[in-house]
Amino acid sequence: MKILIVEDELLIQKSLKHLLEKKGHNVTATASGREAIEFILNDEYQRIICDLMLSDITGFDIIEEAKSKYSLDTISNLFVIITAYSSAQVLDKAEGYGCKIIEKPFEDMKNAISIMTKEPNES
Amino acid sequence: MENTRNTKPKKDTLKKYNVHLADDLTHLIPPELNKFQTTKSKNTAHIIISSLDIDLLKVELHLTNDLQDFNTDPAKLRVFLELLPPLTHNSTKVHDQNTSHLKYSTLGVDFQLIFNSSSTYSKYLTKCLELKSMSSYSNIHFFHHAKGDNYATHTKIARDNVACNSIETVEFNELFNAIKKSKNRSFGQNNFSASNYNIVGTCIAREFTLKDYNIILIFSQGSLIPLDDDVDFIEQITPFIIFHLNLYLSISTQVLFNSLKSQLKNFLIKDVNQQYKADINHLERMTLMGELLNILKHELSNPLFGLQLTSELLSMEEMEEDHLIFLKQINSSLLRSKEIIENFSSFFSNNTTQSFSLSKLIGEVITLTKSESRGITFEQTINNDEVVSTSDSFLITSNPTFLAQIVFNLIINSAQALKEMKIKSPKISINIQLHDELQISISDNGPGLSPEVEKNCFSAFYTTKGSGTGLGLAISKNLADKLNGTLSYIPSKQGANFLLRIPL
Repeated sequence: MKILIVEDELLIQKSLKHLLEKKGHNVTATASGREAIEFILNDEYQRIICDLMLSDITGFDIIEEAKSKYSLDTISNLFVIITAYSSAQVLDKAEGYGCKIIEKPFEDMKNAISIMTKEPNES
Repeated sequence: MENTRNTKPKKDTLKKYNVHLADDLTHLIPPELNKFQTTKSKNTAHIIISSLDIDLLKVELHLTNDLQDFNTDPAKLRVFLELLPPLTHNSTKVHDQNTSHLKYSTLGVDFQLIFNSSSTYSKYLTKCLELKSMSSYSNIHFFHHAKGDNYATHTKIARDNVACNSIETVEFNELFNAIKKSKNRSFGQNNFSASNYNIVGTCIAREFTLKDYNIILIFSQGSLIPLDDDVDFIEQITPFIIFHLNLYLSISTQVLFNSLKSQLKNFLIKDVNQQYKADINHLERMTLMGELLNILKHELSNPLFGLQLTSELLSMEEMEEDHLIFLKQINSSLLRSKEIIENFSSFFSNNTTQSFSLSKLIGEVITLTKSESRGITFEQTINNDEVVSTSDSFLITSNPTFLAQIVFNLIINSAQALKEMKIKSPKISINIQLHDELQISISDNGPGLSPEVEKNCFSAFYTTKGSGTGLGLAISKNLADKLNGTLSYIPSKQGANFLLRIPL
């Protein structure tokens, strides 16, 4: 699976990349939200694992940009949101996109990885 | 002629005024006040005192900080009540055109005073005379002169009657200037052409210039020389009186608002006795601390999670035994950091009461203090029996987080003192009595507290440690309060000994 990780905490980003690569996935990682948008618009990913609080823009901004390319239905399957700031409002907004949300720190690593690598067409 | 006695520094006498004012207010405030409404939303809480029968004054205190302390501590609410001018009674309703507002915000507290001006000033002044603090005064003389008028009005207020007459502008100005020029504004009878005004005995006078009026207030008592106390009291109370009078006279109040604002500010920040000031500062800082910890929690948990992920990932790799041990240590430090952040932030949030094992909790706390208490022997007893295993239950219902925090702070303090003084065979004893109430005594074989330290140890930001915040015991005492308990220092022959008592 071709995966994009958008996460500005480098240790999290690199560890996730490493873990997913070990599982045989093709992983691109970036800490920059703007760069992520470029990647998304110019490339095709089956999964985008996206942090909400980035240093330049928010994960929501990235999803909004992705709307120009993908349908809402695709977006809800394409994006997996990882967030440490799980206030009710943030969670509500994230749920509005229909995406899976994983709260940091991951309580169950195996489960987190399986959500991240679930094929979009699996029911 | 003029009484030139110097006034004593204010500090010495302030407390007394506060007590007086508070008594007076308690006396005047109807019982409904005790049932002041409190509404709480997420971060803002309002105390609205609106059910006062005395419609002259409607007080809204909008306290935007941590309101818990105000709810539970009437003394803190009282300091705000003390800021209020004396209340007067009036049965008419508050109408917009007759109402003036003073909105004032200081130290994170917004309060709004709403005054109804439909009452007459003489009624108001009569009410002022009824204040306990005014009991040594027999009369208030109130002179006001509308600028441009060729006469001024003199009102003499006694407890049983009010008399009014007009005087010449020249006469008024003479009096006004005499008061303005005088040093401490206490006068003997001979100062004014007293017979004209029926002023008996010594008196204290104040003159004010408002936008459209000049005002003189004279407080006269029997025959005694005014005490310095009184001078200070009058100093404090006159801005409020004048403020009211100003409203009664239907003068534009803008100018006075500004001057009253600074008066209130002085009153609150400088003149209110030190304890209240410390309380307000403490509250502010505690709130700030809570916010800071919250930010820290959020900002730290992300990088910590990164570290945790990486170390877990690395430990799955094949590597030398030595390196694996390092990784394990990294991991346990990570968990400890997370725990510390969790603990600290939970100390500032509301926690629930629940049933838990006391011995287990103490055991956990001792584990948490390990870094500071290494090498120190712990002796634990519950109901005089030595605690052998921490699995003995001793179930109690209380707030475990608060309790843990208090015990944690006490142990850390003892441990640090023992270490610093390099005590041989250092020992901390935790003796618990669990009957109708919970008593936890924590003592050590260190140097104990000097009388000076003992006096201040519970004050926020008081510390004897080079790197201390001075918050440990202050927070602990606050937490003990929240548990309806007490935390106190029990002087003993050897070492420090703190006793925590919590009703169950």
